Amino acid sequence: MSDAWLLPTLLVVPLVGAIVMLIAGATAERWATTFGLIVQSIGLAITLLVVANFSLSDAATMQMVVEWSWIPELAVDFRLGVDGISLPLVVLTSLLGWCAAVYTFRHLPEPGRARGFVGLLLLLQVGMVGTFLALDLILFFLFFEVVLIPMWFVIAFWGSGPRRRAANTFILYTVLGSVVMVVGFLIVIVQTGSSNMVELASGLGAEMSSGVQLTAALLILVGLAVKTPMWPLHTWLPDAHTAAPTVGSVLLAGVLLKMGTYGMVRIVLPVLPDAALAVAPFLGAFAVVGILYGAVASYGQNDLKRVIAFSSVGHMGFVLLGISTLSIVGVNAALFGNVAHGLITGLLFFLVGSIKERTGATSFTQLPRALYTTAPRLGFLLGFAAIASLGLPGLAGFWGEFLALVGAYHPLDSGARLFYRVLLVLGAVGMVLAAAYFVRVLRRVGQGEAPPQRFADVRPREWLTWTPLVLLTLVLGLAPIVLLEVTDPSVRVVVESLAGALS
Amino acid sequence: MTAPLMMVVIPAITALVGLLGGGSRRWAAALAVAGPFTSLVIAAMIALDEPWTDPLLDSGFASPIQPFPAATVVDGLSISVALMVAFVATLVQVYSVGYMRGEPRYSSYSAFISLFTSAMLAVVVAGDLLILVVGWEVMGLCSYLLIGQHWESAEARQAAVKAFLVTKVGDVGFIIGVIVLIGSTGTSSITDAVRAAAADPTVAVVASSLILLGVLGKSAQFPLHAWLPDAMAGPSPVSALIHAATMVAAGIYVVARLYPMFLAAPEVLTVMAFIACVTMLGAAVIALAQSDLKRVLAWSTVSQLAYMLAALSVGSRDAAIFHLLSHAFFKALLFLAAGVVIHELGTSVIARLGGLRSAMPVTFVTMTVGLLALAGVFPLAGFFSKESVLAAAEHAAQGEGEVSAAVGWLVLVVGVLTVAVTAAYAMRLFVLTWLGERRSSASAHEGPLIMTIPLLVLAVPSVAFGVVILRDSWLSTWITAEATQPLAAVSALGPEALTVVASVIAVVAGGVGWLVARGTVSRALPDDGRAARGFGVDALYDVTTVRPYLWLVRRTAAFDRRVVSRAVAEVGVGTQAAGSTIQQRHRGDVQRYIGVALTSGVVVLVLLLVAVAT
Repeated sequence: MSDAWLLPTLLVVPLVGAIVMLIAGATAERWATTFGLIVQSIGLAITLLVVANFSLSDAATMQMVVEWSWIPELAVDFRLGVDGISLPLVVLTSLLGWCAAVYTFRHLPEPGRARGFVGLLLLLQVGMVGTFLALDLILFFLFFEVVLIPMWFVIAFWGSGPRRRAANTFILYTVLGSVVMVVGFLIVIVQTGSSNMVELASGLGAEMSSGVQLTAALLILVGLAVKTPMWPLHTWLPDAHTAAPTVGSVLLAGVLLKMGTYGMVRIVLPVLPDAALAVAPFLGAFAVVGILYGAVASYGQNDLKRVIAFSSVGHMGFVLLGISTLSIVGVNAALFGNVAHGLITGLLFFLVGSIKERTGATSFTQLPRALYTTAPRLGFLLGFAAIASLGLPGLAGFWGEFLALVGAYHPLDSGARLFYRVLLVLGAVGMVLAAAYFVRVLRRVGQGEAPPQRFADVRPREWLTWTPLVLLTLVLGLAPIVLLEVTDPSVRVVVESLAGALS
Repeated sequence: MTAPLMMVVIPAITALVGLLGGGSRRWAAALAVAGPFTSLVIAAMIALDEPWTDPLLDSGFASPIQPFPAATVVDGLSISVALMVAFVATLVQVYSVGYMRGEPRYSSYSAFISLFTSAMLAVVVAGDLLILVVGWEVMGLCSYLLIGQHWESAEARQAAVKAFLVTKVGDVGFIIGVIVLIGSTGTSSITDAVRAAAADPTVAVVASSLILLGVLGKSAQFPLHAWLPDAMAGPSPVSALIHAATMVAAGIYVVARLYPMFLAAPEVLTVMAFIACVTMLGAAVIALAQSDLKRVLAWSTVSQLAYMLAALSVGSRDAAIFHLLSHAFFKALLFLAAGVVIHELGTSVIARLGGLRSAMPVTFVTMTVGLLALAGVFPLAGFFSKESVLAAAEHAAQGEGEVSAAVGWLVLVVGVLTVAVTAAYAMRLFVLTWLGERRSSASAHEGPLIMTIPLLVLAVPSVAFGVVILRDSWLSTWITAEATQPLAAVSALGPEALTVVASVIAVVAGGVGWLVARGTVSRALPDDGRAARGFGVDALYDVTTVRPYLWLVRRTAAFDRRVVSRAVAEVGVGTQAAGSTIQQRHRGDVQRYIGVALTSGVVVLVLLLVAVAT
């Protein structure tokens, strides 16, 4: 049987789900979360089918491609496909979407309103998965934008604290970023007459003059860098995370941030190779500033969610550093780091959400101490996630960062070797600083004199949500090859064409 | 899966099972002992399988990254250290069953000890730099978890964080060093990478000096030593494990494992010699001034590890490993014996000990053996191993070593001086703990069998290990696998002048220690002196690192709140204005932001049309 139906179905299923939620009557409030879980489970099952159908020996080429003419006047096609670069992110997205559905099963954040919430999450899923599947610049942009609206609603209506302000900052930043980005896309489309990402990547894009490439790349990078977020465009992130409800934070950190770095590897490196070579050192410099800044600022936060938000700035800095080396090891490291950060930070935000649910607080001044005693299993998981996040070798968080540094030892452009070795040293310092702030968190939240009260420990619903994340963190930490062998063939193709552009 | 890997993985699995919890305390204890004991059995089986194809490379593990092969190394070096690690860890687990009776978090405690053992064994048998890194860092984590076992107390929390972060500082160097090694040699196989690095002096110097930083942190050498004395906030068996079998031994072991590369970097060896000399004598003097039983032992570990580093710096890997092994036995013995005293009296303050000889005879005898071995009294293990370090220094002083004669002389003189100070503080500790009057009203009894048996078991190698090695046994051929000179020098030691001099000095110093201690207790316990406070190294950390960093943290957090946020907000000021206009017309926020989103959508469409038109 042909497997061409798989990818469109991956989009259609949550889309239909969202539409059902939209038109369903008030009675749907009662079964909405069940419905959401079923839809996400179907989505996850289809994703697993995609994995099963994926040919590893052919990971460098687009597979399960579908192509429909869409706006022929503009040469814009509806084109989907999956390769070694996008497959891990598709899996991550489906998994986290499913986790979010389990976590919110009959258990919505205030003020409830199940239909709206489930519908928005399903719509969000369409945008997220679509972004990673799209093989057309305009289609990519549309999915990229589709994500924003539901996320705005989720933060603004189901959030807490100054949620409106946070939601507004989030949408203003990203909308501004993507407006700039689409101008870059249009330059590429007008110059080459094509919006087909595969075609552009296989040499059509490289035919543009360096000046045009650079202009387009800078515009596109602004949009992607806001999303990542790259220092100093990160300031929407802590506010958004603090205000967002738990699953909002999880999807924001776990999936939305990856759309930025994915765009760089998928579009900027292969389509605009000359420009990529020119901007890479700058990207590397910003990346390292982000690593150090994120670590230092994180230490200075007094709210769990803000600590994790700033830690994301640092972790995504390592992803950017890996990309900026333009080396095989570095870009692989970046893709690995994307997935690892999604799993670990997703888990961290889930845990913080559950802590908040029990204690009513996320700030250090209000949180009771000694979670290891008051809820031992929850405390243990928090310790595990924090240790994974600070980059303990043997867990997933380490390899992305370590290999990014290995990549920095041998950047593609050997003329910039010395510069990248400075970045290497600074990045390694950042790894230690990350240990400092997570140890501070554990000391403040996990340890200390136990208060008299006890909190409910991990519930079955929570176990179900978190077990896959914990297991994958372990598996990828002990056998990183599982992921690296998927990404490596595609990365080699991208880097080899960059090497061609260099010489 | 190959035998060396099983030796590593099995205690990790028992740790995981223990962490998942469930089951009775008896089950947890059985699990705790089973992990390291299985490793010990496997290590013994590998050892008996001699001769190993040298070095035997077993790739039994899916390689983490494609171009990086993964492997384990089985040779005399790794197997002798692995035997020691598993042996000490097993005894620590047995002892803990008694010592941690009534501990509510026993199952996680013993699981972390098993994980610690597993990580150390991973470092020991690692044939690949990546496995080495994993073991190295997991050990750092376990030390943090175990030192902070009693995290209700602020002291334990502080000590745990300090141990973790100070060693992490060294690890910046270690990680970069490993990357340099992998990056410049193109392989992560230890044997190949070291061979390639040894052939390239620049790489050898850069990589060894960076890795040395990590070693200084793990093995608690100046200036990254200050975490170890505080680490005694952890339970005594944990101290025994950290000070003998795992953690601190790892630093020395890694230098020994990468030794050809260090030999190709004589500059680094010289720096190492200076650091070893400062640490050796400085820590011994500090130990002399401590008022806490465990702190004396902790500082003595710092000083004894410096002997091993010194041996490495003068070109003798074998003497370093010899001392590593013999020190592991008597130091584990000392900490476990100290644990019995603490367990019975509830204190480790020396001023409250004294006169315990008759109350706890087994502990008394075994601890005395440990102290004699530490002081280097003939014919105990410590005598021979320390002599072999000094002999290696003498060898170098005669200009026959890898480093200059001056460095050899320095190590030799400081080493002999430290022999004297060591004898003095060992004697002082002995007198104040065991002799004289009881200074505490608490009743004292001998510890339970489950705690005293490990003491007796450890006393055997503390006494006999040196003699066994000297008798040119199978064991000594393991340690002297490499083509360096020193153990041969020891074997031919005979009534050499050096030995006589060192022994005489030790006896005289011990006598002085005795006299000082017998004088008055208060004079023997100067706990407000500069030496007692470790010569202010903590204050140095505070001024040079901690305070500046916290200042930076505050400034950055404030900066982020004000400057960056505002700057970016002003970039979007036009849109803000548009938004607020809409907001003024329609009070509802929803409309306003759907408005913004739509506006931007329209902008996009207009741009699209313009683009098509051109």
